[in-house]
Amino acid sequence: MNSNGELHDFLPLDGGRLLFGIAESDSAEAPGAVLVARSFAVVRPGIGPTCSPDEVLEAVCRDLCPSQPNHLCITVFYGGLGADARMQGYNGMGHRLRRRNTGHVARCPSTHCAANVPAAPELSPLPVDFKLQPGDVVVLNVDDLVRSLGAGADESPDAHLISLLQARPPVSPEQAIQDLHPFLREPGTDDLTFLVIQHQPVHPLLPEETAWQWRVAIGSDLSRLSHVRQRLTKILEKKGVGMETIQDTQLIVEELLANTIRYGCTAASPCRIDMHFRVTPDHLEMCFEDNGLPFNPLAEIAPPDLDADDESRAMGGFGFFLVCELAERIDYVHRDGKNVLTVALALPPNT
Amino acid sequence: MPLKIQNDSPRPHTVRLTLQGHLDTQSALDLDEYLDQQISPDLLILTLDLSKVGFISSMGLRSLFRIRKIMTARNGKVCFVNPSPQVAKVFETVKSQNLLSVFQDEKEFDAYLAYLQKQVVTK
Repeated sequence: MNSNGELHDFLPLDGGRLLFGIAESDSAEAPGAVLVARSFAVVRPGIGPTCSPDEVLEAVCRDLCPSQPNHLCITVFYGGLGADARMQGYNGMGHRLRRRNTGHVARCPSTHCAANVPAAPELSPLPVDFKLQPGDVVVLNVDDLVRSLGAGADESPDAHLISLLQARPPVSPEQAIQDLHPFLREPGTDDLTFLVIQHQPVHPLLPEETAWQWRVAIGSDLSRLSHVRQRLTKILEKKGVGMETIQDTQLIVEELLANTIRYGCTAASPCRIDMHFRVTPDHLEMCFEDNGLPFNPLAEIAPPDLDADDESRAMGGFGFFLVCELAERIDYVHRDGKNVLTVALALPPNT
Repeated sequence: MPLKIQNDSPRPHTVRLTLQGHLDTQSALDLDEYLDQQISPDLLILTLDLSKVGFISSMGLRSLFRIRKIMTARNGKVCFVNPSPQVAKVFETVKSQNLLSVFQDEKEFDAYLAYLQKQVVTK
């Protein structure tokens, strides 16, 4: 949380639900930051696992509003995400919610908070209720966009923000943040706070703790590969996978994604790659599905000559060979317009 | 993780580069560019310390083979020293572990450099 007092928080509830919140103060003064921190401090100890977003908001307003100085205004938003992917968000003071689903961006109505009037505890929340689809990206923002953009800003910054989000298909929180960067470079821009959440459902037939899927849209940006590897490392570490296996997995992912980007995608048709992972007692199974040109690496890529001289070795060509050497099993199929490559990595005993 | 390169010249006509980070699809291109600038006509021995390279991909491997080819063509020497476990494993997988050198300490490394220098000078 910086000195302007922007903060977000997550709170697991019962039944696989997740409560999330984002808050921001319009003041750069210390009291603003303190007020924001209190909005979450109220929630954590005082709210039980069965609470609803409106109960949370009521508790926050009840605690903060009577003591809020007249010159301070904070914006809070609390939402709930159910295990059935139903999102229930409740408006606080002045927030806006945008949902992005296959290019469509929905803007939900918000209340406005007069700058110098504390919000009343009895403020009625505006319900937001919709079911997320796999891959949906939700962008939450609590800033006063007109103020944040400064004098001379676009009269409809909301429209500008929505058009930025609609310019590219929805892919990942990382890409949503990247898409928003031009917005932040506007002259006189104040810092802006966004919380971006993506719905990534677990395969229904596989236990949640051992399987997960991940959609990555990289386009032609090879520099994103390192972000993918870093995130993958954190996920695998949490699942107790050993370091050598993590490094082998990183290498497999790097080589396959790099090949897909270089040879399977075009500028007109950016890459969309879905990765599915599953950890079993003996294997880490990875499945890569991409919408690139049909290509079977098992049939098309000849193994390199390992006895070649430096001249030949300097040309490269070891990528898929490394994948084959590390994996226990590799299968390919072209299905529903996608290349589907499945790689199984044997796990050492007691992983 | 971006690749950091620390450069020092322990002896005349010798450059020692210590690489730190990941030598991957993206950073391999940066390394190529850097190495092209480092290869001056009087450079005879180039050492790449790989102890702090946490990850190497096939593109990183290609960069190392490329610089080896360039230096060999100029009658120079390239040493890949103290590989991290992941780097050693990748070299071994492509049957190139003979290109790696491991030294117990700086003294041993320095003695090896002196030996190499004698070799290239007497050619």
